[in-house]
Amino acid sequence: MANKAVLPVKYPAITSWQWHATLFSILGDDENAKRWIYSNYIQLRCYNIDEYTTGEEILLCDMMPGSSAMKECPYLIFSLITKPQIEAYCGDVVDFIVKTIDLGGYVYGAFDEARMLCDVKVDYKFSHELFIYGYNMDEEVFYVGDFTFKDKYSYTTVSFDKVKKGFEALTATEDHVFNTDYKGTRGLYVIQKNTENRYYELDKDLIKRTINEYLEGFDTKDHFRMMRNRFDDTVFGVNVYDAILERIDKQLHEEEPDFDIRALHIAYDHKVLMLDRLKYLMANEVIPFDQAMLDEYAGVVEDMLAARNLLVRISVTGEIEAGTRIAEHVNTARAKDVAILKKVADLL
Amino acid sequence: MEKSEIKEKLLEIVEEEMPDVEADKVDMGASFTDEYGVDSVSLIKVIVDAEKTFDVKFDDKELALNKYHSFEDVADIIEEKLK
Repeated sequence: MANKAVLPVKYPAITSWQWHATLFSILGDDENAKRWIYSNYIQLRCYNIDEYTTGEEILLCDMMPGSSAMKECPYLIFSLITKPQIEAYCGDVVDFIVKTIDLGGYVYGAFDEARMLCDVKVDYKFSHELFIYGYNMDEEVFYVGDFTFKDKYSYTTVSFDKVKKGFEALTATEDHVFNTDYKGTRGLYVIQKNTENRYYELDKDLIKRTINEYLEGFDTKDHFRMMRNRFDDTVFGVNVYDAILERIDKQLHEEEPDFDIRALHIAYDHKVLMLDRLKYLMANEVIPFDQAMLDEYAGVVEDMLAARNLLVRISVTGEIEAGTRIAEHVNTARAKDVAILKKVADLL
Repeated sequence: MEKSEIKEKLLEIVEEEMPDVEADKVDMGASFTDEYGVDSVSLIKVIVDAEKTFDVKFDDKELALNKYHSFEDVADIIEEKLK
């Protein structure tokens, strides 16, 4: 056992949800993985769901694949280890995580982060996914990636003691990572890179088909039958823009306005990744190089960022009437997005 | 308004919005994300306060963190708006 071990991570290109931030932290720089990443994450979808922390209805917006991406990605080996297994193998979760990292495994799972943020005992729990990629025995800390400890996704350290308390505080029913898919299970995922061989070629046909499905707002559940499709009220593709605007209008005009930016942020991240995809397709001569198209799509990214930042600004100033400008930015982005992606689909 | 006065007032705002940052130790030209932990939310709070202090207006695209490298860049755009 070394005194310190830190597995490689790269600050992720997209940070909307912990599952994406984790996958991109591990694989974002890998040339083999890029073939899979750029063939996927094209379709957008959203649905209403009760947030597990507050019970309030939110619009959950995500790309496809979503939270199951790490299971589906051929460049990761994703293993579920139950709490009884952890206790049987190591006796202690800290020891388990240290040994896993020594063997080249990243760790991902639900922890009570209220126990990690507060030095005093608190009477509530905040179950959130934590990504662990290293440890330092001298300082008794783990290296983690998360949104909870700063205002944005960041790499930081958390003490062994807090990680242990955060893990032990949650019961199986409170483990939101497992309780939907594997009811009654409490545990952690061990993630290993599987990037040495090329398991997946860039799928030009899939890219073309999914871009068209995105443009048509096609119900992609039929296309991704292998994924868990539990939600009936799902909106797809460009129709997500309308759902987001409707939700923002509603949340800004509630008696106590809500400034949840997550749906806008994932829509922005979707454009960031699409611009990277276009650059990749051009660099690999899948479509012809076209600087004007890249510049135009950079404008889509800029418009979506302006919309997201404006919502943050409104949360600071309380100028609810400025919300109309969010719609202007989003609709401008949508028009350009549709026009450019139609061209791209024709080129593929 | 002189550039030095803009910088001084801007750093007062920064210190108010980001209590961990000590204004008298700030290197105006340093990367404010790397050195002082500026993120999208803290930048927008600084800009909103700066609009009131300097009586200027930032448009929505000027709220983007990637438009700036340092506090010096924010001071520059305020100076430009005051002309």
